[in-house]
Amino acid sequence: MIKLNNVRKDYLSGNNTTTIVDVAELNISAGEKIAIVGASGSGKTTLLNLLSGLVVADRGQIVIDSQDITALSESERDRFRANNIGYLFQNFHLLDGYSALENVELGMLFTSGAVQSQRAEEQLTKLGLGQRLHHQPSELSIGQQARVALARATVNNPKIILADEPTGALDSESAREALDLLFEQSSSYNSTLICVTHDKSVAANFDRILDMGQLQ
Amino acid sequence: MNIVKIVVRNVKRRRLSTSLTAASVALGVALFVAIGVLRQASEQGFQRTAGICDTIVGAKGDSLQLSLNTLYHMGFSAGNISLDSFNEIRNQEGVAWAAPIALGDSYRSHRIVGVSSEFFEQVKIAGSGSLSFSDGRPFDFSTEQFVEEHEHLFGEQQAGHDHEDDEHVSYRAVIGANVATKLSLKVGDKIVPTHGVEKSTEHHHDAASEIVGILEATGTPIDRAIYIPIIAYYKMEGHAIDREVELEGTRDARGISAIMLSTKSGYYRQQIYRSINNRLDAMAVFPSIEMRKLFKLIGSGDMILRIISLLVVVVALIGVLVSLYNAMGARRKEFAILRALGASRRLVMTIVSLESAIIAFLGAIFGTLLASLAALVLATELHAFSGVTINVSLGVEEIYLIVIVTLAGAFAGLIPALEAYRTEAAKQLSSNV
Repeated sequence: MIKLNNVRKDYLSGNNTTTIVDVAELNISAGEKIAIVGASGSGKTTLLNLLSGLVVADRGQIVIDSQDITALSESERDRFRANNIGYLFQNFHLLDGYSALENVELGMLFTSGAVQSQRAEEQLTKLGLGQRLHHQPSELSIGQQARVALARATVNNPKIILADEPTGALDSESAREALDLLFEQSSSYNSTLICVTHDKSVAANFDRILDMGQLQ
Repeated sequence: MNIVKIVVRNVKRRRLSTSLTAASVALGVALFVAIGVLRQASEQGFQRTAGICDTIVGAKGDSLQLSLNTLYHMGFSAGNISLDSFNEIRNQEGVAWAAPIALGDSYRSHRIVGVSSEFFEQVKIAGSGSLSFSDGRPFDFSTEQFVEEHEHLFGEQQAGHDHEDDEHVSYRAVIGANVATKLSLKVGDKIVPTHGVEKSTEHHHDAASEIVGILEATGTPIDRAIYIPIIAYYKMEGHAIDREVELEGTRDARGISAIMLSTKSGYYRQQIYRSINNRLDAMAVFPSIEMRKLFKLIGSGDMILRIISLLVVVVALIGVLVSLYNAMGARRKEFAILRALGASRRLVMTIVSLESAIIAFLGAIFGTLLASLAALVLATELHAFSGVTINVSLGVEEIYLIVIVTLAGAFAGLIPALEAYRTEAAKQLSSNV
């Protein structure tokens, strides 16, 4: 389902060009759960950004479901991301000033479909936040914030869930719980899960582990 | 959840900055609207009064002063015209009616105007027609009677007039609607005129006048005036009857202050105007033209004020720009999150631009309301000062202004919006802040 072919991304720093990502070939099947590990600065997050279309590859192809996203314009990539990808961040990146429910609704706002408040509510309720729908992020515990972020990432039933250190900010118990929910959600929607982690015990739970150092 | 909700939420979140920037926009808009609305309404109000008669005749002098003194009871009379001149003018071919006016005294800050019955019969107010009475009736004293009694009075004076012979003089008064309300006067009450129009302690106790009628409100200076039979004016002590007063030229106390005159048709209007102005002792003015000239003069002043108020709006919009621009640093992450969720750069830019437009819109709406309120207060003051009622109303021009200020607000938001557009989502999201 996801194919990367000779994908390369360089960054300019002054007069120096540093290659961050250089993947000759990578195939990921639909519904597969992949952990991406590697040293700090090895390009794990950049790879996620390339897959989401937030960052454009300098060369190569990224084909998702027969769609070469490197050939799309920026606005087409934005639309593609809204409709197909759920993004989960280490710091959750919930928007202040918006309730838990509204944060989840934001995940539906830029898709081709309409915003369905009921669906957002169901998603939060399923994740145990039925009583916290109208709470602001600052009124929620870290674990609850992680669940709101997960609800936002999965509310559109995305083909791909990209998770960047989703358990990095959590204690071990909350991390375990968040990971279980992440697996549960991705399995129930048959989403491909690609998760960046530095934690080997977390990575061990995935179908496959890709080490950025070996991948490049 | 929708884009408008996001925009409104963002505006609400920065309440203080939104309020301050919107208030500064409102101030400029309020100034601009108030100046425009008041000018237009005042001109309409003054022109309405100017339409009471088509021509005013008075002693040679300043035409604006003559109009303001005769119709609006402002300032002082430039001089008098003789009864002979009045007779010649009123008997000219083409004169529909001519009402003599005598001004000079007051009652508790309200001008006392000597008139004949023709004044109540002939004066018409644009939009409301002839003068009508809310109580009582007009006094019965025709121009013919005035001419006759005037000649009789001053003929006697030449022969040695005696005040004791004045017992037949009946002092009556008709008062304007405002006078009745403000001074709580009713038919049957008596008023004692004060000599002159400034605060004076010299009262005409000999001329205590009984109120016989109260006029309906007209929205003109008539509402603030007190009308007495014109002959009574000459019979008060210290006026023409008194032999010590000056009896020559335009200062001749036996003369009349002005003539309100209407002609039979447009042709006669110009002809009579020219013939009067060819005289050495009188001049004719068209009050509507005088008012137009006055407002043209005021117009250049209010144009400067309007330009200044527009500059205030521009400065306020720059304030909106600066406020949004300063907030950009703290908001980059917010834009990055929206981008990660699928928002396009253009959409993020639109959100910021709409925020700016909303602030400008709120300012414009609030400013317009503020201007209406200020204009209403000033209209009340103007009415109290001049008797001229002006109708303050908002029109299409104000709606255009709101639209223009809102669009200008959106335009002012473009610079911070471009900053939002340039936000690199990936870079912002990877920083662990």
